[in-house]
Amino acid sequence: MQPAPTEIPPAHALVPAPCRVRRTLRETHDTFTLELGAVTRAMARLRRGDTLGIRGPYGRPWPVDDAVGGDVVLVAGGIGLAPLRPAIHAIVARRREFGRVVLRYGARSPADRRFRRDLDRWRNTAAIDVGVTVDRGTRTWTGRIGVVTELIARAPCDARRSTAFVCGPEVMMRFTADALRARGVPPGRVWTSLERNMKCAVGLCGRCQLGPTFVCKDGPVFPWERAARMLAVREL
Amino acid sequence: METLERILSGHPFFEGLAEPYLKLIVGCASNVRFAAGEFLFRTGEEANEFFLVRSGRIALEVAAPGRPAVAVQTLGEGEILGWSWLVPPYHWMFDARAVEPTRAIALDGRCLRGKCESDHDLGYELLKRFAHIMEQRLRAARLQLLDVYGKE
Repeated sequence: MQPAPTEIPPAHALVPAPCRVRRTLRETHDTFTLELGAVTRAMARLRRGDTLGIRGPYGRPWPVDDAVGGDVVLVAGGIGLAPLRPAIHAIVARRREFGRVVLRYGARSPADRRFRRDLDRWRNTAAIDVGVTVDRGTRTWTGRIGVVTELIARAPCDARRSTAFVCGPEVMMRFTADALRARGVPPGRVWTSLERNMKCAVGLCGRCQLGPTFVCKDGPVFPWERAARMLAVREL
Repeated sequence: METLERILSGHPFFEGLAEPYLKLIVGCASNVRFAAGEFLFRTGEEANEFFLVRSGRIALEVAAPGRPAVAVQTLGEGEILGWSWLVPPYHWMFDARAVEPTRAIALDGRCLRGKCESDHDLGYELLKRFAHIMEQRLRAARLQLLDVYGKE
């Protein structure tokens, strides 16, 4: 099964919410939730035996197959690491089919880093070059301080043979795409996920519409060249 | 053992620099080491050098009386630290402290300033390279200010 967005219909009469399947284990879906809003809070209250409806997957997943044979640069900001995880798991499962794999992750502060155990595991057992930075350090933090884009210039990869997958706040993705272009990654090989607020997931309701594009149906993963054109329209 | 000339010529910062200039810069370079916690320089001190970090990590900090220093950025392997040697009044504007054992190449800025004054082609070459670093750091600082992750 391709790593693609799924949608969780109402839990206790809440509006549907888009989510990502973290990984698929045969027929068991393993999901990750972070309590951020009404739906995820309601999900966190579920008990063993409760029912949760899931429909999908919908939309366009990360084009992992297109990256085969070259290096892969994954750049995530904040909770943008969650939508990237299916791609990372797909790459880890087929690790030998890729060249160097680089993951650069930026968070607001040390306490805001997500998936820390996964980051360690990918670094230690999956031959992924993992670099983490935070925008604001603390007295006890001895890791990197600075924005994630600064980690791209020296990322160990052959930029011209690389495919980049980027997910995070839209401003962060814009700066990251600029840094990748400056590094020499071909513009057509930079992919981003637009995590717009989706509802119907089939391109009918218009909640996630960007011009003529429905993020839920046509995306959420887009080549950056296309995403940049959509995001350049201020009214959208 | 790698020579200073080989290290500097292989660094992106010096890429494409004419060989005579590179030899001149090598003459102003020396290997330095800093223990974890050691300061490379402090705010207000004369800025007479810059560093090419070979390994380790350095924090740029702002200190205020009665408050813990705030680290605003860290620099690591392959990065350039310090441009105050190039801009009057040649004083450091931040503290730089080694967060972990750090190896670097120190370049004598006072020596280079003199050579840049007498050879403007060299001065322009160095200024272009530092302007690029300044532009990258300014862009990063602006992104940092935006606080794009907010309260996720």
